[in-house]
Amino acid sequence: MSHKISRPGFPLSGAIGRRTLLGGAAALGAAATLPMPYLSAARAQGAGRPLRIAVGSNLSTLDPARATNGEQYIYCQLVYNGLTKMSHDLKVEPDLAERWQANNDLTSWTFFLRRGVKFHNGREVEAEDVVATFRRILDPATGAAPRTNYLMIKEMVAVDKYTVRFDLSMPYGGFADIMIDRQVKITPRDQVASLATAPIGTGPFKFKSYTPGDRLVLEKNPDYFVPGEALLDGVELRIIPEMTVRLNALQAGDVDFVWDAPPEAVERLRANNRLKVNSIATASWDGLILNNAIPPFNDVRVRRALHLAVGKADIVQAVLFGQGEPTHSPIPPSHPYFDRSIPVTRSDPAAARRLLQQAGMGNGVRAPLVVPVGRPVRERLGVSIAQIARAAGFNFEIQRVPFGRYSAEVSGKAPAYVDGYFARPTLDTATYQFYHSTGSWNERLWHYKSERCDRVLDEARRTADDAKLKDLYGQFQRIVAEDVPSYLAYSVSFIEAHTTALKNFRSHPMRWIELRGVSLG
Amino acid sequence: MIGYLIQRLLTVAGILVVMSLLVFGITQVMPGSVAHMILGEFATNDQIAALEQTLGLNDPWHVQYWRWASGFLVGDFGQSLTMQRPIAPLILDALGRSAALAGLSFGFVAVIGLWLGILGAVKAGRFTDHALAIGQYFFIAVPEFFWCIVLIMLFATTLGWLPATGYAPMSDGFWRWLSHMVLPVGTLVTGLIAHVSRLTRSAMLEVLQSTYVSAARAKGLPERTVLWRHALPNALLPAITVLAVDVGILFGGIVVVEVVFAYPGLGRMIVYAIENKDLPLMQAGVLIVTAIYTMANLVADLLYAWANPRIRYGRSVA
Amino acid sequence: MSGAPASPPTSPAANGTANGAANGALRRRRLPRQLVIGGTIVGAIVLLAILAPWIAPYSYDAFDIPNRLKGPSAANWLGTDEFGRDVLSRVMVGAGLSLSMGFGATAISLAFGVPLGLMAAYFRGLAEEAIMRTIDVLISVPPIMLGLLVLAVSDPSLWKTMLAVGIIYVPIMTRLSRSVALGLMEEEFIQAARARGAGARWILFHELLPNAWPPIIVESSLRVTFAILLASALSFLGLGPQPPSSDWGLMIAEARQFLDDAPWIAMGPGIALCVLLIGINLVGDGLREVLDPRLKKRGAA
Repeated sequence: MSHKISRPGFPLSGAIGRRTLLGGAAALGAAATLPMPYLSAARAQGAGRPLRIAVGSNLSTLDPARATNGEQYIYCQLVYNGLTKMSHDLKVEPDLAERWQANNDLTSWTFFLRRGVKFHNGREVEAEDVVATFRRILDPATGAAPRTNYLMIKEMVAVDKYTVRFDLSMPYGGFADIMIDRQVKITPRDQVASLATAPIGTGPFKFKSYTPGDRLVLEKNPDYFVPGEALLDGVELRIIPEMTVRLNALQAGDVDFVWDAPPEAVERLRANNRLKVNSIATASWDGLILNNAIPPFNDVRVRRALHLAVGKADIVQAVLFGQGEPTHSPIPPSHPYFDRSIPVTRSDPAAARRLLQQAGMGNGVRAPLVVPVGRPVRERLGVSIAQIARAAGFNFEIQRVPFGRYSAEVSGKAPAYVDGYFARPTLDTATYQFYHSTGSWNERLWHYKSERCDRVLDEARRTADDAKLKDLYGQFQRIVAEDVPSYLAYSVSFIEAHTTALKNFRSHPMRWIELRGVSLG
Repeated sequence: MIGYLIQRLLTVAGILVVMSLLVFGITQVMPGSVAHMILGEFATNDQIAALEQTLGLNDPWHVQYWRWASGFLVGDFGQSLTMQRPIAPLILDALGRSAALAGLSFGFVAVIGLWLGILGAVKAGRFTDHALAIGQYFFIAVPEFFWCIVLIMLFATTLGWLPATGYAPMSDGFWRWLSHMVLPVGTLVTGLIAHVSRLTRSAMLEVLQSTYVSAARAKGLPERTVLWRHALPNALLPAITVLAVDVGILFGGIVVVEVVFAYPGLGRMIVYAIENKDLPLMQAGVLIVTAIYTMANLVADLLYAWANPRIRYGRSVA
Repeated sequence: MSGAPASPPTSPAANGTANGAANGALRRRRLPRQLVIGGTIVGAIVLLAILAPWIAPYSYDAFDIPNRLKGPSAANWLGTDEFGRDVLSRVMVGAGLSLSMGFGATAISLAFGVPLGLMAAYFRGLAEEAIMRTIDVLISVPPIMLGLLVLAVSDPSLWKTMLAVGIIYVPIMTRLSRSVALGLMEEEFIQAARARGAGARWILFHELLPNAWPPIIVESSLRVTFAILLASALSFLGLGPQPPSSDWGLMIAEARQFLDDAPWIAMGPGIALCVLLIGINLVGDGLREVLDPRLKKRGAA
């Protein structure tokens, strides 16, 4: 989700019209198969080296359904395709499905697959593969992170070899939009067992080798179904945990691309004329997750006091060197629905202290604050909050915990911890699961319960009218700003740096790397 | 000698058994549920319980231990939880790369360390000796994690002579491989060379002042012969034990260097396993490192016993 | 960092002659030069660490965002870090942490290792076997691995790191004190004490310990170096004191992000660490010259 978001809940006719208007080309899917003009040019520059991308973390599993970190999302995007895809300006476009349609009450969605698309092992993609893929996603034993977004799927039918129908348990207008998500990539139904070790997809690049902790090597898929889009001879994801080393490797020419560069490096990298630096607004957010179910943050006054104590304007300066914007909810400042009437405050320790006194915590609040090891920006966020909040009587004790242990030990358990979330495909997926009292993320993160908020989110799901939606999501933001379930600090700007030899590349606001049509000059 | 060898081998076997119990025990008391780690964020208690059942995590500890240890004996290290692939090839690959790093470093340390030590002893009290001594004090005191950062800044960023990252496979070509080894090896060896040369110098000095060297000199043997034939072999003894001990130091250094240089070796894999609580991977990694370390100590012990027949029992190299 | 012993237990004798033998003039003086220089360095750092709360120009954790990443200046002698915190103040406050980790860990290894070693030497037999075989096991894990494992089972904190590092060095202290005590057991005064029927505790603590301490002190002084190195390496890997603490290992780890723009953030604690370690090494060598019995003997000869 981000600037433009497909609105859930459109009646079908309007939806298609709207989508087309937004450039989604649902009906024009076939157009994308036309050969691209730069095909010949790419051939000319010939066989060469692969694009070397420096990333920070190990890709633990290669199974796309189980992907949980940004590095894996990059891989998913390069090796696989979903039914739909999201363009750079956040429009939903055909991918493996060349078109789709829904019934009038939006409870039944039919996707028509592009014909002749082959997996990397040469077998054609069939409707049964789609059904099998989603069956896996829905199986709790798979452990797919976005599973709850698809729980409304009641039944899946392979109508024929190239047609899949999803019957939903409720009307849902954004169903084609959430098909762009990172983990819902179509995998061959007969190769599931080897997905983690010898993955097979349909994407522009195919798996060649993986040395855990070192590099993932992908090679060009010469038979990619859109001719002229797989231009690079290969892609290597180099796993380099140290940010300094990553940036030095880029400057020394050992890698071509650094994904997710730190905000403080922007100026220096821009000074290098062999490099191009992109910094774009995204809907990814970082924040301090407060557990609303246990003391001390079960008291809304304590949460408000923390918000008074730590001004978001100060935090953005301290943590992001200005490369980001304060936010109040997962709806980012770059979104047209963002409510600018909610004030962005500076730190006010005196007011925070008064509020703490009212809450009977005049002696201060003592709590552990967990920060993730190896995520420097988020670590900085934790240190900054702890330091700034101290003036108001919050005594946070920082504990660094490896990010890999968060899900088992921290999420939903610690009273306060720093975490962040990547942009979701739609406004609904970005808010409903997080703030509705039945939402899956809500239960894992802050345990927030508000009837008012539930009502607004439920209504937004059913609403099609743009102005009304804007009003509803405005209400939602004001409720959240009042109840402050957690301290959502800012929307992060996403920064990538790469060699100027990379042609036709644009940073993607979903923070994966889109290399279709990109070449190395 | 044979009896001593058998006795030492038995000790080693005993140590490994105890270590396997220890490593296994640690994984049992580690906080957090393995099943939860596998299932991720949204695991329900039922799913966790079911998976624990499948993984046999509810069996009594000795059953679990036996399952793990017996698999280990036949080379089946199990399956990595996070990477969902067999551990044995993962670890062997990583071990090979760490061994390349360690072997190269160890070679440099042995040759340069001994040579500088002898040089220091021969030139004792002169300028060379003082210069070496200052260098030794300095390099022993520079922590690897600081040193590698300094080297990266100097050679990779500022001068641009060497790659900043740590690894290229041999298949990329020998020189590429070698150029990637220079900085990690350079980081690892400086402190150890200082350490070894300092101890060699002391040992050498002591030998040079001993009566039999004086006697050899009195016989009119050329200084070169005295040095290489009489003094050095005796001075090597303590040096060998130091080198064996340095295998342990080397390993400590390797963990840090692998992390900083992104060198995909065993040390980094173990750190990864600990951070992500990939217990089978961690168990296998730690046990293998322990086995190697114990073996290095054994070899040093045997060398020592062989060179110095008076010491057969009751001492092993620290 | 590193972990393992600086020298095998037998080596104080072997390498103790180092500079002393090389330089006769030096030995005749009351205090070896290394001891004086090293003592001055360590003393100065200890003094700074103690006085830090009063003499540090700024608070070690106070933000000053407008002045962040500024190079050394009159206001901030060692520059400022990414939050505008004064690097000098942080280094001064951090000295206490590094010192207490080094000395604390060494004290722990002494507290456990020396009694065990003495008992092994005194009782021999089964007790010795039990102690020494346990030690064999402990010593066969590379130090950093043991540290990582100990810290894997618990949340990191200052005293846990100290404890982990201390435990790692227990075996070395045990072996050393055992081998020293084994030698002493042959001496006449111990035989005499036994003959007069002195109890085990008396002999252990009144006869053995006072005579065993010189080599133990020498070894301990070296141990402090390695304890500081290992502890800071563990901190560097994220397993030591937690932010915003200014432990030097942690400071260097955090400063890596800013090496290109603000190398002084790493240089402050890095150089301080080197100087401290050099100082302690010098003290260790000096102590060895003063205390090593073999050196004394040779000096007399």
